[in-house]
Amino acid sequence: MTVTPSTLTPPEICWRSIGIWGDASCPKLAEEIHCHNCPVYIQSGRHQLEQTASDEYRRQWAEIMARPKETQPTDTVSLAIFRLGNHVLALRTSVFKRILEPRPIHPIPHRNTNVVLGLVALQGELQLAFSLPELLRLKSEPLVAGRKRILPRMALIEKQGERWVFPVDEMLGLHLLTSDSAMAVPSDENDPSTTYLTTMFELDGRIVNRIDDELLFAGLKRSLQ
Amino acid sequence: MLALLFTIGTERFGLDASEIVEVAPYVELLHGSQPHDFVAGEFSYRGTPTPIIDLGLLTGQSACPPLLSTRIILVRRASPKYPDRIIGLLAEKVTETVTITPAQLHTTDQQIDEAAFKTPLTLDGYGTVQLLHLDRLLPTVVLDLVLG
Repeated sequence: MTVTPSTLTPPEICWRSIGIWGDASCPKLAEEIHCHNCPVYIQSGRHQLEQTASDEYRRQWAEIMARPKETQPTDTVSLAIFRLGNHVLALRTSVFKRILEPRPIHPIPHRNTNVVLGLVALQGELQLAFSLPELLRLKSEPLVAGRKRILPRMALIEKQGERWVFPVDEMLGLHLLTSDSAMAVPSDENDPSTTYLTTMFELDGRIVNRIDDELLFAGLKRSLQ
Repeated sequence: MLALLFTIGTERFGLDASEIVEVAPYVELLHGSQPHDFVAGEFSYRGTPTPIIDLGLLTGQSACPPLLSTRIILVRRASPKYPDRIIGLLAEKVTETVTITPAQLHTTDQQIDEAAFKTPLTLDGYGTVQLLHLDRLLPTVVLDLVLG
């Protein structure tokens, strides 16, 4: 096989002289904003591919293409992970609307239960605040030594137009849970929290309990009646 | 329609992306007893021996050079003898995709040859792009020859 040399000559490296990495005097910048968007820059990038592929490169790719394709699991659900005392809990990310700095909760006269804490003013709107440990009836345990209440937050959640706010001790991040790594939580008559906690999984050596968002919102609705 | 753009010889071509299984780099090929000159060789695609047709040679032009932009377009084909096979098409400058609108598909002022393996389309910014018809480019006889 003959190797035909590239007939394209690389254009002037304008992005370093008059572009974003130069003095930004290029008249096209007014329209393109950044060299990344400019056809000249894009075409120059394509010129990089007009090089001969080395034998080593072609051999490596032959090995990669011979292996079964690595696929990402598709049945995943994105969960937001947070902490309440010693409990690490997870709730579907899509129900979270905002994570906010803690702000005062104003009790509602004659309407306060253990679950409903009161009202919180958020951007000119009053939202109902609830206590997740009370709703789940989590057993409160003394904090493990070294664990401090470091970054308390308030989470605004919404499902089908119903909005609620609840305090958390710490937001820990997001996690993509695959269905095969989730285990069912054995239901325990003596532990009422298992009503809402349907599955659990291990994350960084800790057991995380997932709260079922359907059951959570149904439970919140009941708590108002 | 999303189309993958590539070059055969001097012409720019487009292939409906829904026909494509995967695009692979121009890997090292095994050269066995080639059934025809336009078969560049074969390689193990996910464990299955898969023949590669050099589209340059198939259309009577020069062989695709081993550049980084030369890639293998893997397509699924079927003939009565081989109902479900994947074959590789070697083409040059496989670096871009373009969305072709239904209006662009039907505004060709040139005479359309129903038997031709390509239909010229005029795309803004790309000039003339030949839409490739795989069933006409690779009729059953060619598939049987390549896969046999």
